[in-house]
Amino acid sequence: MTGKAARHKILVASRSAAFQDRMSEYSMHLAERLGYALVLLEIGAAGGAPTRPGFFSRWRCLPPAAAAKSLARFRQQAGRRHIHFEHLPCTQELGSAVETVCQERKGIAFILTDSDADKGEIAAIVSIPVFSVTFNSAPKTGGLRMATQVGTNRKKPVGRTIAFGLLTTAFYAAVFANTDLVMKYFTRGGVYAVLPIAAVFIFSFAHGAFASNLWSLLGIEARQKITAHKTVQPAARQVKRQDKRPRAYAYINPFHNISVTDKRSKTTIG
Amino acid sequence: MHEIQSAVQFIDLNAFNVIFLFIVGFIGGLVSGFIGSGGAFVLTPGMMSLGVPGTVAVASNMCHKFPKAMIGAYKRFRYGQVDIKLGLVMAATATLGVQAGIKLQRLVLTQWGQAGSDLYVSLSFVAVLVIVGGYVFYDAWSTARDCSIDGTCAMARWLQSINLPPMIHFKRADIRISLWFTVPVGFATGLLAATIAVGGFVGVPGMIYVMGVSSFVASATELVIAFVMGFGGSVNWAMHGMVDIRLVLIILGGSLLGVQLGAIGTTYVKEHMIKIVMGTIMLIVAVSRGLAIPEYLNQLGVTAFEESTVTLVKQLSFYSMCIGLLTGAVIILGAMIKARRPEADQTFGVEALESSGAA
Repeated sequence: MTGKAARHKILVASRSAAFQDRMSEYSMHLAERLGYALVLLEIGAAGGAPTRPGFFSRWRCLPPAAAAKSLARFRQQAGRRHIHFEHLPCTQELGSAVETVCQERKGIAFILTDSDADKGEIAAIVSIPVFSVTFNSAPKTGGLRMATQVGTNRKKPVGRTIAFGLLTTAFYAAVFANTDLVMKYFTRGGVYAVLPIAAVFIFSFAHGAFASNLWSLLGIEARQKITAHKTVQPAARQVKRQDKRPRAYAYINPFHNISVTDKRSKTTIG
Repeated sequence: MHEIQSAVQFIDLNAFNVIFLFIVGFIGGLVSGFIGSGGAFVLTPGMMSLGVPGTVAVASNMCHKFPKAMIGAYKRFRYGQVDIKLGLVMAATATLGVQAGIKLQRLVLTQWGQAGSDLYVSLSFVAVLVIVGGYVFYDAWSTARDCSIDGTCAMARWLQSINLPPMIHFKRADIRISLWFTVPVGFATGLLAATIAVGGFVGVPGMIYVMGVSSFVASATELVIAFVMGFGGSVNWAMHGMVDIRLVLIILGGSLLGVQLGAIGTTYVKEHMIKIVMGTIMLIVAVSRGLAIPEYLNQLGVTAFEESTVTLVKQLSFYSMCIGLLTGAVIILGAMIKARRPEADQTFGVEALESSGAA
């Protein structure tokens, strides 16, 4: 095990076959931003057999080839971003699997899933906040909306770069070709102060746009542009489990007569 | 005003001057875009070393600073890092701090002359940069923690818990704190800006450790404060005819490229990297300003160093200041290049098989 384990963790639960492509990227970015670790619970197809006796005995696992491929891909990305993570591929029922992980892995701060239905199922069982992440769709009530990721598929802004570059060049040429005239009025002071201030604003917009497009053209862009609009989630209600243990209720009367009644059998003792 | 203007000579520009100012502007912009401040403290002495009169250097520097801060703030706003409300609240008290700083400077100038004023500035530099920069650097290296969400510093937590109206909620910074606790941080930012021309060296750590804002939001929001302060100061200087638009445009040519690259760089690194860069620059610049002190001590008659020694030390001071800025730029670019590499050198992932053991 390498790296420093983060105190808090994000549990990511997904049934989707495209888990690594969408959910992993989003969850990794979130973990990186928050400094949290990741616990990836990948619910695979039913029927997988345990491959390592004594280890995944509680889980019905994915075939080893698929699990290894998934793990290797995620490890590469997480390593690049210095994210501490665990990968738990299994095919157990989602709610139970999440409950077990939350009990065994301390410090789960919140849970991410890519389905509203799964969110409801998980929220009914655990009390940890659950968020559903919708990809490239309109934000739904109670979910997170992920903005479009800055990627390499965008068209290169060649035209805009050239246009703003020419504008900037023209501005430079106008100032430096008429240096004497410019300096005469720009350093006059008083109300003429508006000239250098306005010139700087105009130049900044033109050259700023050129610079922005130039970096985009060179492929240097922000890594992620995530705008997660978190909606307030109501606290998950814990499902009341039937208590199978016999309960004894002590009834104490003020006159020191103590009688114990078994509620189920309705018998009084004492 | 006209007497001042007639006494001021605007330098003739040659190729060396243009290239020097462009490069320094680019590096200064890169650092500003990343840590929210810096760069300006090199440009003023840099311009003066080219023969630019002091007042023109300060005025032109300020006139380039506010549009650079504006573009940088806009870029980082798009990345969701700027808390405009926090920036404006801090800028309001920073403006008061600037006025107080200017009055204090004038008082020192009247009492002890130019040498005394320069000594005061240098000592302020050294004291603030060593104390604050040292703590920022130590914090970045030892714990790699920040004061956001789960890592709020003890002082910030305590201040946030005090319910002293009016309480303000800063949405992007995700803090709720009394307005009164923002006043000293903003005031100190303005005071330092007026004294050593870099208010962010107190503003950014102040927002992180006193108010509990994350490094990303603090460094981004500082750009809003820098814009407001710079704009006000620039208008003032422009009304006195001290702005050399040629110098401003050359510096802006490089700094607008650099500030956007620095802003992009923040999306590639972890939050503690901002502290590492800031702490490194502050400590190196502290050494630089410390080396400038013998000259002022000599002028005041406190010491009697050899003239050649003073000249050498003064040159070392300037070069070390440039090295400080360059070091920051190298760290930023290095972190960006490393983050963009397709394969990681280390694997931080944990095998489920190794960590959970037999179930």
